[in-house]
Amino acid sequence: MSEPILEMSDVSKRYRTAGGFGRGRKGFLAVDGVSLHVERGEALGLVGESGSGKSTLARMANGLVVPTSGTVRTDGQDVAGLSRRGLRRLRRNVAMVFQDPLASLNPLQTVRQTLENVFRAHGETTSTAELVALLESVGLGADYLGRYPHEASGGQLQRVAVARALALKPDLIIADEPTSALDVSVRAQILNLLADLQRDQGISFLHVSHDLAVIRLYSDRVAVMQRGRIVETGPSDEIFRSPQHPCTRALVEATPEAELPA
Amino acid sequence: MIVYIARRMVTAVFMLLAIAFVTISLFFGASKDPARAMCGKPCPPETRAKVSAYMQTDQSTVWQYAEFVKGLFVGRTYGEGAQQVHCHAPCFGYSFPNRSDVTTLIAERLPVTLSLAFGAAVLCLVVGIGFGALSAIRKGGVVDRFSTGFAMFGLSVPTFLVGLLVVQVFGFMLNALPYSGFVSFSESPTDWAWHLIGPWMVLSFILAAGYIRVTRTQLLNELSADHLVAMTARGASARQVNRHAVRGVMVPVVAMFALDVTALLGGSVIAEKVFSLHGLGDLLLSGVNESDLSIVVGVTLFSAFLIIIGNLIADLLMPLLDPRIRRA
Repeated sequence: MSEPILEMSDVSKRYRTAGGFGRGRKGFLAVDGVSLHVERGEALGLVGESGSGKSTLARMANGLVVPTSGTVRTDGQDVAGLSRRGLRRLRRNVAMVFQDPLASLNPLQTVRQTLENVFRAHGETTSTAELVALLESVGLGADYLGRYPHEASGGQLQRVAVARALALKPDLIIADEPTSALDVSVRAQILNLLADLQRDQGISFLHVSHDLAVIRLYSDRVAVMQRGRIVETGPSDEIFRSPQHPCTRALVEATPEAELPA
Repeated sequence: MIVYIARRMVTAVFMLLAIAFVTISLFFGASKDPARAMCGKPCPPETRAKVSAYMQTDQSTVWQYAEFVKGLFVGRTYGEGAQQVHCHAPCFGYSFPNRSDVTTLIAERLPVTLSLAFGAAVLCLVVGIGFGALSAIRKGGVVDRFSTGFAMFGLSVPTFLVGLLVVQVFGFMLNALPYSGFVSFSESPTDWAWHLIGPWMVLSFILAAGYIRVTRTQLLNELSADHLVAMTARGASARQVNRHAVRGVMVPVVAMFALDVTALLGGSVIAEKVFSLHGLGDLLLSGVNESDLSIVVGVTLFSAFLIIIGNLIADLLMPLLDPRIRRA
């Protein structure tokens, strides 16, 4: 098997806390010695309750967060050793989808401008036909090109955000709670879209969520985080059928769909 | 769009008429008799009544108002025979103490106020946005602490105090700047600027405070905004991201600036008084002191007109900067 698209070994992140009380002067250890990997073409689900360090961990994969210790290898490169330009090149190939689509799209720019920015960021040009094809690949019509974020719904915007991620054909997409800001009715559409991309285009996913039901259906493997550590990993179905760690059990029990027969 | 502008202009006309009415009512409500100031000493009641009739201030407030509005369209004639004076349309009133119609008086004073407003506006934008941006970029740094303190000071200190301090320090103690007077731009641009540096400093000091705070807050918001993080995450360079942040900052700054500039154009009473500049603010003040209704109404209306225009310009600019305001 080729090298994993993402490989983290023993990474930690300590945030300095303001003031010095509460968690003490040492700061807050958001991620505590985590190792994980995502194979090429695989979807890894990262679950945990809020504040467990999932997002911090995910953001270390593309260098948005710099780990306090440990190494992150993304797309075969040591992220810590990359220059600014190197990081930008990495981010061409490693895209990210954020939680709140309305916030993650520039309110002052049309969908076209938002998409064009990706190409411009990497010194590339694009054509209307290419942008339309991009929108169509996420199930949106060409008329969305001229729209501003406030002129579309949350589900449509998240599709635009996925289109932004898909521009320039990335190998890895980090999806940080991509559906938790959406209505339940459109959640499944976005998740199906992501699953299709994984299957049809061979894109790897690091899928962060607090919802085990979502992770179960759309990930090959699951890693469960609690207080900055990974407490359990394994294939999705297995984790679901026989959760070992109490934290995982609690998450499984908190999932209404979990009671349905698999 | 044209319909929108037209509608705004019509509203503006009604607003100006209302402002004129309020000003006239307030003036007479304060039981000031313009004839008293003009009739001289001694002032027997019959002379005073004659003067009052001549100045047409012996009528009711409503009549005064009607006459004023009529004057705007057809002009106005006071007195008869040798004492007759005519004020051409659009007549904003006739100032008897100055023996001149108000339009001419405003036109005479306007260059001073324009010069004052222009320099103060430029300086406050440069200082306000500059320091605001620097303090947002290095939040908590030396520049940030200095400019936050500076802004706090500028917001809380009254104009006359800053004005007098500038006159005292730069004018009298250091002898570095002239402390009064005005030289027109056409006469000598360098002398023009030289005489205005003091008032510019004072006005922009007060105004810049607001811009520092707005720029800083807005830029901090923008820099941590999800959509800019998303740009970075997709490989945009810091410069590309900053360009987008700047556009987000522009929206409130432009809105604020449009209002500030027009307020400045209406004359700054205190700064003009401190530096003995004879601009619109000074004209207004003399009008109040001499119970000269025509000047008070004229200058008030002129300022109100500018502010309405400023608002309109801001409203028209906003949608260009922020598409969310469009079609609303």
